[in-house]
Amino acid sequence: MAVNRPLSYRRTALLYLSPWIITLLLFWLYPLAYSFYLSLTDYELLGRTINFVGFANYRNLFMDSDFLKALFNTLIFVVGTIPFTTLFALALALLVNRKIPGARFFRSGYFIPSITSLVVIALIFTNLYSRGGYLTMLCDLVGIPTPERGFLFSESTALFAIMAMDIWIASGYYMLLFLAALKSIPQEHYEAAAIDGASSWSSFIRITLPQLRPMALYIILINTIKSFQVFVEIFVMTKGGPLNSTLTAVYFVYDRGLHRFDMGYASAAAYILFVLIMIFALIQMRLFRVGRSTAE
Amino acid sequence: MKKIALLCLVALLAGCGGSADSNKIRLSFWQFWTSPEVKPTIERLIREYEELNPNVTVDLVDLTWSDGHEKIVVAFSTRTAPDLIELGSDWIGEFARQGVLADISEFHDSAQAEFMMWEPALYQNRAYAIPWLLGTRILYYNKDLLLRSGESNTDPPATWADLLRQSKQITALGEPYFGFGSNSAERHRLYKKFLPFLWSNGGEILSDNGSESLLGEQPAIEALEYYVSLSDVGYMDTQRALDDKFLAGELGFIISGDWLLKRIDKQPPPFDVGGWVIPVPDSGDVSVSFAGGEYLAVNSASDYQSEALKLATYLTSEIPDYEFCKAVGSPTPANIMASVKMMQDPNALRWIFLQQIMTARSSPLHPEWVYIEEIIERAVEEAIYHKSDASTALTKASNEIKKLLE
Repeated sequence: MAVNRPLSYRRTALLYLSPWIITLLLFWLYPLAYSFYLSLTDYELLGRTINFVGFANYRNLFMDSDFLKALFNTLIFVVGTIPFTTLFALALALLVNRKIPGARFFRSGYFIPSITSLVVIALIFTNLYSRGGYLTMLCDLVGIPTPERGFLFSESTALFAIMAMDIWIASGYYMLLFLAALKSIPQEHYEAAAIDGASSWSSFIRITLPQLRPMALYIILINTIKSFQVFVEIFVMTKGGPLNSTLTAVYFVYDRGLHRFDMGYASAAAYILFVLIMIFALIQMRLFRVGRSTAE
Repeated sequence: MKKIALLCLVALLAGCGGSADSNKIRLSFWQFWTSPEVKPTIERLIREYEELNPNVTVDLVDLTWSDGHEKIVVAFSTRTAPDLIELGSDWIGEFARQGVLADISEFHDSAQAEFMMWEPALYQNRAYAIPWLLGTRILYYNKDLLLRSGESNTDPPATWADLLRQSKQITALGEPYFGFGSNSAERHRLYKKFLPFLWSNGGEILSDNGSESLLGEQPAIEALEYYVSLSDVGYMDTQRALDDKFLAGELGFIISGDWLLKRIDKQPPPFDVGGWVIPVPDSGDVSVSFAGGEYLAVNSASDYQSEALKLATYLTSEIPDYEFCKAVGSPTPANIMASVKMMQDPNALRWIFLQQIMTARSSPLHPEWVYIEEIIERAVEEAIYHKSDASTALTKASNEIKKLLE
């Protein structure tokens, strides 16, 4: 129901909202619209002229084997990390939620990678994964075969090595979110279930998991967006190599835009990624909604 | 009372304007040297310049190698670039092509003989930057490992055959020892390691007028085949990791630059380090290494172009260039007189650098170089990963370059 407020009230409200509105317009909506315009041009960062080329950049991108490879690698990254990160985060949250000695220590320990600089972690892992690195030595000790040139210089292992590192980094942060959701589940539910004779497994399936659903959706959504935008790890560890095996969509955008200055082409690639993320997010939201209505 | 307060305010604001400084020229200078060993030298040189030119104040702004290039590009595109700017030799072409660098051909004509390596600064026969500091790559080797591998003396390998044979011998010692340190798929570095072999074998990337690709020709194929054979008996990693492994005494040979020299000076490794020019196919051939360097360029949109050029001229003159290169640890100043002064240094490795720079070359100054570089690196990568043989990889690369040049 619409409420008639005096004009001065609305003006004041607008004034208070203006910092956010101006920021949104200036630093989000305007660049978003402008980059779409750029994606329809042949704009080069240092160039003097901008020519409208229609959807030529989009057409060329779908014929560019490097871009298709970058999209494929990004999809592998997303599909390969999210289930593991979510499951590990949930398992860790359940573990540290128990009343066991040292739970606080483990909680902080698992969270530390999330607040450490990604560049620092990427550099440490570059050493760990190298031919003479600790991880290779450890694998050799227990008889696990390792790539001859180290994990990051082998085409078949480079991307998976970065994905494993990413799972390790992200799990701690999402553990904390799951933990917050776990703490907010009313204890009475478990007590009632115990009185009804429910086992701890059925309590977990019928109480804990449904109560965690909104948080799980949030985690999967955020993680999907983040994983689609993977960049720093690639920039520090492999620069897309070897043989483009770790080339991801955002690294592709960076390389074409800021290394080759082809801003029109890079903007078109960024827009394709944007649409892809949106589709994924919508599918996920739909899946969770369907799940909820069935449960209800 | 109000009037007095207003007058005071006006007087205060007028004071802020700094009438005494109003004739002073403020030059902005962007540069990359931030380490505590080099930055004080740059600051001192700038101070000395300001003392010599009291009407000039220089604002020094630091850039980093990780994102400096992007910052420069954005600054030029938004017309906020400084008056004077330090550029890597590979970048001059792309900026000169866009017309954002001032044409300093007049200075070039008068001072050409005073500097080495003008080539990267010339675009369509016009000059756009002054050489400041040069860098090349030489062959470093571990004399102790050479003896342990069965060699009777510590003479450096002069030819390709020597280098391959000795590399195999050292690799045969078993892990952690390897003969040759081969660069991995590291963007913007790998091609610099392959080109010396290509050039020393008489190969070229492009024809003289830059309109044709020569990468698919026999000298290039032979060079890549040789580089792959070296890589196969070597240890592959990033440049930084290779430098570390060499200093740990586990690599027989490594092609590296003067940054390694600085590390050796700072912390001498526990073995005898040797240096030599990059080996050649056959004795009597000329060893051609890769050369790059740092150049000073003036912004074509600057209001103070002549003042910026004057500052660049000062920084690249004999004594300042010598002192700057000393601080950097570079044995190869671009100023010839500074180089002569550098020759008084008895360090043998520095002498090798000076010897190598005389025949070193830089990558061709071509508007499409950034693409050509990537095509070359991909071909080398495919060959060292045995995805295709050298001939197929280079023929494919050559066709891609041809398409680019059409």
